[in-house]
Amino acid sequence: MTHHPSGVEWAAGLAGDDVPPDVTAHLKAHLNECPACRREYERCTESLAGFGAAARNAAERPEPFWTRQRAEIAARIARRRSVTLRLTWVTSMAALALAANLLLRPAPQQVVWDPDDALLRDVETSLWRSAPASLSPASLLVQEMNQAASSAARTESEKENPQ
Amino acid sequence: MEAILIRLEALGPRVASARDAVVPLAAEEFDALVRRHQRRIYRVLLGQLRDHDAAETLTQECFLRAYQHRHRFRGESSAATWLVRIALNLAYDHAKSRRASFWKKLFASRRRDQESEARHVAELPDAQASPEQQVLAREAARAVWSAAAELPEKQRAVFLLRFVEDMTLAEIAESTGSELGTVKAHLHRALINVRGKLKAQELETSP
Repeated sequence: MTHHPSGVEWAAGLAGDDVPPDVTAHLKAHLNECPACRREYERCTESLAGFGAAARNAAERPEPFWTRQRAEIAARIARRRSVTLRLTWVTSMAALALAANLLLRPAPQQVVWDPDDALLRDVETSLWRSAPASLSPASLLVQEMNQAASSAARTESEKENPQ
Repeated sequence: MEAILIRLEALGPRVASARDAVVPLAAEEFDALVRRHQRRIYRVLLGQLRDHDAAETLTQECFLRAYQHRHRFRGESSAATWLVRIALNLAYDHAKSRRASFWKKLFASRRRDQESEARHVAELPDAQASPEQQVLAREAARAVWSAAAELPEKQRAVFLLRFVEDMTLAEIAESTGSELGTVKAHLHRALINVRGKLKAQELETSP
């Protein structure tokens, strides 16, 4: 009689996919001659198959459940798509507006220096000024001297007539 | 005996036939994609989380993410494995946030587990079996379910994809983003656990 299969051989046999040929051969030979192992193997495979069927059954839902789920998925995708579209639209509009602003903005006017115009402006400034432009620093000095003199006079008159 | 051996040999081709065709992901075809895969994604999430509400919410989220990232789908894998991968990542994230809530875990999850387990067991098919056989099958399925519920989440994912979704190990590797060897290791550990549970249950029920 062949020796009992090891735990790994049992597992490989029960996994049922990609089993090494020598393991399959040994398992087959042993199950043929050992009723206890045969019973256990049968029980394991039946339990696993029963479990799979039970698990599949437990996950079964009525058709309206799946229909509702598909509708919800479609609605969420549509919502997401509309948000994405809106964002794309807003972004492209903003980019377009910026580009339009840059392209359509009137070019800054170049100041053309006109000697006649400048002369006229100088004349006008001179007319409005109390002192001629060439004497501006002197007129400031005179102004300050006058202020100093008037404050000195005020101080003296206060000393002479102390109320 | 012959039937068992035939089943052992037939498991490979049976699961291989579950491979889905590669699906192009143009926006207008998306509804058809949802229709084709929504049940599987819901099942995967339900098996992982054992919570119908969370499974429903995350199924929607899974398809929204798929739609959002549809341009990343290159068709190197099937749409099914791509969607399962998104669903598993969502389930892991959800479980992480659920673990963070101690009280929720303590009360709600335990209640949900019991409800869900009872539901799975109650909905066992095979009405032609005798009442005694049905009870035994129900007990066995319960033992498998409780063993699966106690597995670490990655082992559980591999186990459920193999035995509920009938996916091949290569498809599971694609879906989980793991190496084939890692998938095999996870599945073998899970099966060793399940076999132990079944043995223990047999000892309890045997006279």
